[in-house]
Amino acid sequence: MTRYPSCKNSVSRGIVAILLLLLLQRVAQAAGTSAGVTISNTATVDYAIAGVTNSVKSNSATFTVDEKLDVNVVWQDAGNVVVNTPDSNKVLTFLLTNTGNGNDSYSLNVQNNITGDQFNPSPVDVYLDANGNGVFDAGVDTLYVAGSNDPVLAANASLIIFVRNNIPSALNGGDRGKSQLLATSKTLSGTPGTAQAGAGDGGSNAVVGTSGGSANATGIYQITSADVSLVKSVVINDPLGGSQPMTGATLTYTIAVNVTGSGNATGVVITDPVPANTTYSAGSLTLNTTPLSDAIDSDAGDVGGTTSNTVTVKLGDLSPASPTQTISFKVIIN
Amino acid sequence: MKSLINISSILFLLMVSGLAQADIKLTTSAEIEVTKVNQQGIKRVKRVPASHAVPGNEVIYTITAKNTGKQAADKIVVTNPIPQHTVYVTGSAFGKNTDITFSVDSGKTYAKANQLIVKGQNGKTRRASANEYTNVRWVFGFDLKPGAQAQVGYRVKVK
Repeated sequence: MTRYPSCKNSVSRGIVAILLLLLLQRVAQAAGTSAGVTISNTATVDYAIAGVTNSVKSNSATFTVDEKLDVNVVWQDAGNVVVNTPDSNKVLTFLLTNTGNGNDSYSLNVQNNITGDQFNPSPVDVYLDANGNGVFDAGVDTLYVAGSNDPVLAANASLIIFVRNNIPSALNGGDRGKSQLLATSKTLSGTPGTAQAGAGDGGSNAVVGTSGGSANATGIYQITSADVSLVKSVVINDPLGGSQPMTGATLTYTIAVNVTGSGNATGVVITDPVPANTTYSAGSLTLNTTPLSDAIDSDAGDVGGTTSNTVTVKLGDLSPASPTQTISFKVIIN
Repeated sequence: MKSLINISSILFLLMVSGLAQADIKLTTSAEIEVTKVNQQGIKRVKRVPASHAVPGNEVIYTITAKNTGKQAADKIVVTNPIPQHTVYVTGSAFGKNTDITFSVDSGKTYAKANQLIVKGQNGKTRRASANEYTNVRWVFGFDLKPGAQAQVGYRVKVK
C-alpha cells in the first residue's frame, strides 16, 4: 500500500487525488495505452428479411496490450563539465526516462572506456536524485547499489541520476574524458520484438521495444584551460589640444582583460609599471569606468601601494562568460 | 427449490436463444501482420490472430456477415464503434459494393471521410482527422442470399 503524506482535511485530500489523476493521465497519453489493458471490438449488423428488420451483434474480438519495454537516457549538463587535474567526485547529471507503457526497473552501469577522448575518468559512485531537484546534494541523494535499489519507474516517469568520477593527474588543459551511463531494463532487453509471456504489467507479455530495453548517454569532462588576454591601448592629449607626446601631455592607458577557453582563471591580478619619464595622475585609476582609490583598501586596485610606482588591480576569478574587464589610468609626460 | 431455479433458468435461456436466432451470423476477427524471414532470407508478411499487441501496432479488423437462413437478407448495414485505445488508420476501410461512412459523434451521424466536419478549439469548423473517428458504417449495395457471405473491415493503430 502506498502511503501519502497525511492531509489535514478532505479538500486537500481531494486536490492530491486530482493531481495524482492528472499525473497518471499525462503518463498514459505520452507512453501509449497502459500495459495490461484489454481492447475489445463488437460489430453490429442490421438487416431485413421479407420486410422484417433484425439486428445482430458479432462476437467480441479481444486482445491485450502488452508491456513495451523502452527506456531513454539523456546527459543533462549544459556543456562539458570543467574539472582540474587531478580532481575528485566530479558530478555528471543524466535523466533516465521510462518511455515504455508499464512499470519497469533498471540496472545502472558506468562505462568510461570510450573512444574519442584524451583520458578515462575513474568511476566513484552513482546517486539517485532523492529530492527531485536535479542537483546533487551530498547527504540527501541516495547512493545507488546495484541489485538493491535499482530505480523503478512508471510509464513515462523520469529520474535524475548523478554519476561521480575522479579525474586523473597530469593531464593537459582542454583534455576531454567521457563517462557513459547505461540503463538496462531488468524485465527484458535485447533484440526489439523479443517477448516474454506474462512478464509485463497485469500479466501481459513483456516485449522489447525499439530501444532494445536499454539506453545510454555520454557525459564529458574537460580539464580547465582558461587563457587570459590583455589588450593595452593609449590616447594622447597634449596641452595644445593636439595628440603630440610632448612634455605635459596626458597619456590615458586602457587595458582590456578577457578570458577564453574553458573553466575559471582564478585570482587574476593585473600589474602595470608606470612608464619611465611619466608621472601617474593621482586619482585617475578606474575599473569598468568605476573609480578606484590609489591607496590599498577594500577596492580592487591601488597605485604604488602593492608595488612601488606600479598599477595593481585584483580582478579575482574570471571565466569565459565574464564580461571584458577594462582598467584605465592616466600618466603625464615629464 | 434449487432444481426449480435450474429448470426455470434453462427455460429462460432456451427462450432467449430462440428469440435471438439470427439469419445473419456476424463474426469479428482481429489480426496483426507479422513479418517472417525464411531460410532463403525472403521476407513474408503473415497475418496472425491478435491476442496481444503493443502501442503502435496496427490491428486489422475483419467483419464477416453470413446469411445462415433460408431467405435472402436485404437493407444490410454493418456498424462498428472504433475500440477505445485505438485510432482509425486513414484510408483502411474496405468492403466491396458497400457505401463506407464514418462518425465523429459516437454514431449519431455518419458522413464520407472528406465531408466529416468537427469544431476546432478556436471555434471554427474543420475537416475531422482520422483520430477523431468514433464509428465506421458499411451500407451494403447488395442482398445476401442464403449461404452467401461478405466481408468488410478496417485497420486501427493501438494508441
